[in-house]
Parts: sequence; C-alpha cells; structure tokens
Amino acid sequence: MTAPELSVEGGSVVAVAVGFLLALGTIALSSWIVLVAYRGYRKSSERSILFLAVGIGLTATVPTVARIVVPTVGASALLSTAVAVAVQFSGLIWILYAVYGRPEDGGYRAVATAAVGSLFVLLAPLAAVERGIGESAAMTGVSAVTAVVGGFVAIQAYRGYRRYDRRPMLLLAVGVGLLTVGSFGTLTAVDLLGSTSDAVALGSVWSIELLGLLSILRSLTTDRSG
Amino acid sequence: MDEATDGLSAATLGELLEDEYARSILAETSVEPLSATELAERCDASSPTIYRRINRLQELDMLDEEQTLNPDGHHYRRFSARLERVTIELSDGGYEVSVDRTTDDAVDRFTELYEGLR
Repeated sequence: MTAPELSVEGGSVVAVAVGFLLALGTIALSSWIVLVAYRGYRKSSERSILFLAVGIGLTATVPTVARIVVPTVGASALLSTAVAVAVQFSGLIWILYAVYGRPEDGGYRAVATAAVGSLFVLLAPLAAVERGIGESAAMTGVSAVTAVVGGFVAIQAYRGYRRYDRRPMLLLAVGVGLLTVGSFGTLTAVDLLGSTSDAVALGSVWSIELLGLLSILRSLTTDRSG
Repeated sequence: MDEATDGLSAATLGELLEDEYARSILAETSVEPLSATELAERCDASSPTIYRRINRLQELDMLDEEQTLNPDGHHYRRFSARLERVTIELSDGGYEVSVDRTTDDAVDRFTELYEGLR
C-alpha cells in the first residue's frame, strides 16, 4: 500500500500523483462495473436481476466516485461522506430486496424503503451535527450501520461461494466486504491512530475501495467455469 | 375428514402420486433440473401430457422452475422437484398430511441471481 510514502511526503507531488491515479482508477473501474452489470441485466431482462444490478451499482460504484468527486467540487468532508454512505446504504437495500423480496411483483416498496432509508442515513449525521454531536461521531454511527448491512450481504455471498463453490461469489463477498466493512474499518483505524494526515486517510480508504471495485469487476467478468 | 395442515388432503396426494407420469417427473427432476422436452423424452410421454402434469405439480408447489438461457439466446424453463418427504398421520379420526419441501433460501437465490447477472 502507498500509505507509508504518503505520510512522509504528505501534500507533495507524489501524494497528489498517487491520489490522482487512485481517483482515475476508481472512476474507470466504476464505469466498467456499471457497463458490465447493465449488459448482464439486458441479457436476462429479469426484474430481480435489475434490482441486483442497480444494487451493486449503488453499493460499489456511486459512493466511491462520490467520495472523490464531491470534495473536488468544494463540498465539506461531512457532506461527501454522508452522500457516499447514504447511496451505499440504499444500494445494499436494493441487493437485499432482490434476494429476499419479490421484485417480480413490482418493487415500489423496495424503492421507497431504499429512498427513505438513505434519506435518513443522509440526514441523521447532518441533524446530529446541528445538535452539537461531534461530526466524526455522527458519521461513524451511520457508517457503522451501513457497514453492518454490507457485512451481512458479504457473508451471504460468501456462503453462496461455500455452498456452490462459485469463485465469483467469493470475489463478490470480498468486494462488498472491502467497500463497506473494509472502508469503514480503515476510516475508524485512521481516526483512532489520530496523528496521520488527511492525505493518508484518504489514500488508504481510496486504495481499499479500489481493491473492492477490482474484486467486484473480476467477479462479474471471470468466466463461468471459474 | 382428511383436511391437511398443508392445505393438501390425503385424497389429493394419493391421486397425485397414483399418476405414473407425475411420479416419474418428480423422480427425474429430483436428480437434476430438466426442461419439459427432456421430461417428455425421459418419461416417454407426449408434451401435452407432461405440461398438464407439470402444471398440476406446480399448483401443489411440488416443482420449482428456473429460467435458463440457451446459447442461441432463447429462454427455456427447467424444473426441479421440491418434494422431499410426505408424512401422513392418522389420528383422531382424520389424516394429517405434511409435506417437507426443499428450501430455496436466500443464499441459493443470491447465487442464482448473481449467476444470472454475470
């Protein structure tokens, strides 16, 4: 990982270059995943698969890109994290609904639940900060909830791998795990260590998320016998 | 007086299992998922006969169905048996029928859906 160099070179040309590369990689991988997932849906044109595809898109690609793009346009770190977590939360609900619900019979309820849930996840930290609760504490709260849901989805995918020996399910589990639990864990660890710079924090989270995206992309594109 | 807990009466069940084709369909699809055409071959029956039995078995929730994509891009349905065990209990002047079915749980569904997406 690039983190040690970053802490030495914090704010230097190297840090900027690494950050830029990570950002580019994230955007490229995300677009690729969305494309592959969309093609997968078009091939089957089943409603549940549409829900799964949208869920994976919202869980994996949108939040990672949001984490990069939203701060760039000058929004606060709190807002960008809140948006990323809220979108990810709604994505996880789409996935869970595809698996547990019956998207064949409509699915407006799931869309509504996802919308209400993510609105709550978005507004909760902002409201908490208004009331004087620390910014990081508020964000940690909602991120933890999302990480728990993401961990659950990852475990279900892992069980699918164990039961059917399907490698793609393992890669999906790793990807979803890294993007939810992994990124939350990294943020928390960086927070606890305290002394590190923002560049290191961002760098490590971006790296973890990039790995997560890579894993999901592999799982979507690896051939059927894999 | 043979109303069942499962909504299935001993008479319905007896009638179902008495049918040679229904039995063969369940037996064949308990080994691997099969399409109606494959079933017609293996059970040595006409397509309409097979479809009638499949419909009946599905009404009673004894068959699962999955969509499969052909290499040529056509969808076709394949069936697999859900029936695992039937218990008929005689007590208090009535029959109690209970059917154990294979469960298609969340992990199965997740894996199946994800395969569909890939």
